[in-house]
Amino acid sequence: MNAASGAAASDPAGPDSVDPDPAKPDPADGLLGTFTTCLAVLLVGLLAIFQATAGGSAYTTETLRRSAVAQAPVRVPNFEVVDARGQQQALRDLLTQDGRVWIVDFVYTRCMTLCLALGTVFQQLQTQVLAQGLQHRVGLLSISFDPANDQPQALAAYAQRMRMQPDIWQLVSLAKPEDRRRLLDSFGIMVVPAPLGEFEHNAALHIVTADGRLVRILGLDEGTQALVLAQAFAPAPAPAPALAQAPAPAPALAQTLAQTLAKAPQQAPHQAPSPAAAPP
Amino acid sequence: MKLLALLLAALAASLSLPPLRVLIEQSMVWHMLVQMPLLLAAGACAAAAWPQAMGGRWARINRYGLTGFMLAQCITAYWMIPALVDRAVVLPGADAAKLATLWVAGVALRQGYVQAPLAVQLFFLGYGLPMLAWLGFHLASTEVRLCNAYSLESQLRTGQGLVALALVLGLVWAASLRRQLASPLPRAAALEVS
Repeated sequence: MNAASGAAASDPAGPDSVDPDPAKPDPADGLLGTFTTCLAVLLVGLLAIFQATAGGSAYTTETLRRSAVAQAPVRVPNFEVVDARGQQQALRDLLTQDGRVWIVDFVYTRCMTLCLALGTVFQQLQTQVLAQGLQHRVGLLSISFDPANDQPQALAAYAQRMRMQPDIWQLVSLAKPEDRRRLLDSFGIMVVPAPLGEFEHNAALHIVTADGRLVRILGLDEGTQALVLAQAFAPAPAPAPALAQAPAPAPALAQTLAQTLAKAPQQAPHQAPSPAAAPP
Repeated sequence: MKLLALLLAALAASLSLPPLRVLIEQSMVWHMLVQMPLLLAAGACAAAAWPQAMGGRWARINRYGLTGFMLAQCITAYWMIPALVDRAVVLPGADAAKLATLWVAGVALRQGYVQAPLAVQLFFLGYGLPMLAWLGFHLASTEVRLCNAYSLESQLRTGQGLVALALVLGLVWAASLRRQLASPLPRAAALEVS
């Protein structure tokens, strides 16, 4: 039944081949073998766990997902999306149209729990973007993963409820419901049914660069850091003469803060926070 | 016993196949409190039903049940990690590996138990059962969803169930102490020699 017995290997103590009684032979006999095997089993076990948890640093799928993306950014797939006005557009075109870095989250408009929290986070982000005058560098995008229910009119109602400002915060749904699985997989979102017809999903803030790559994933409680990081990934603002004359101290501060933040989760190499891959 | 071993194995495996698979996909309780224990039990029953199958070569590297316990410990610890529970739900390959390794862990556990003197049993169970209970407490008390595949509600119930399971297993072992102490089995002799 088991492999251990199958091999007809040379066994020096032949007679005890089917005698599991440890008391009859010399108790020390086999101890060395036992210790060696134990050690091997332990090593293999630890190695397997080490390998499966990114070196013991991540024990949940969510932390694994975040560190994987931080190490190797993922190109956002292309889907047809539809917005509250019913206009269709390719997701990648939307993300790469104007050189803005995007903070992306996933919602469904019927949500009464987590997405409300997400909505609040995004409302605060919208306020901060406005207050800091970042609307040309950072955009907010909510993508619905419930295309069956989230048709343009539902999106419009949600946008109104959340007081979205379309030039800062956009809301889209999938134009083709069959793309749902692929969209969720590409971002690593798992949606599970919850009581009362709701969904539970791993909600997070996804930072997507101006060239359509998912570069960082942050928790819901890290809105401010997400904004700072998004700025760090944004291409440097056009050298407008007015800005050049009066260098504000804030961006420099944001840059250093962003660099320390970016290094924190993953000890990313130095080039990580700087938009090295941004289009020239 | 042989029939029971086969039955348990078939039952556990059927939870990974289409008609019943929904259960472990939707409920962490079915996954961690039904299927996984079933697999361990199936392995343990198989080891009890075919005691000679392992042969002397295995017995020689399993003195005092050390290797059996160590193997079972490693495998069960591996499948307690939330990320790997998720993987078993999503990836069929990981699920197959789970079925095979947890069954082997059941075999190893039984092989460890029958060979081990009380001190060795106490060492491994005294480590493994509190680990199980700790995981249960953690799952039941954290606000963070640890498995992306399961709802917080499901995680909470699983946590409570794991604590209960650890308690029950501890009690079963304590009850077996009476029998073990009453009959001086070879394991007692082994302990004295060592």
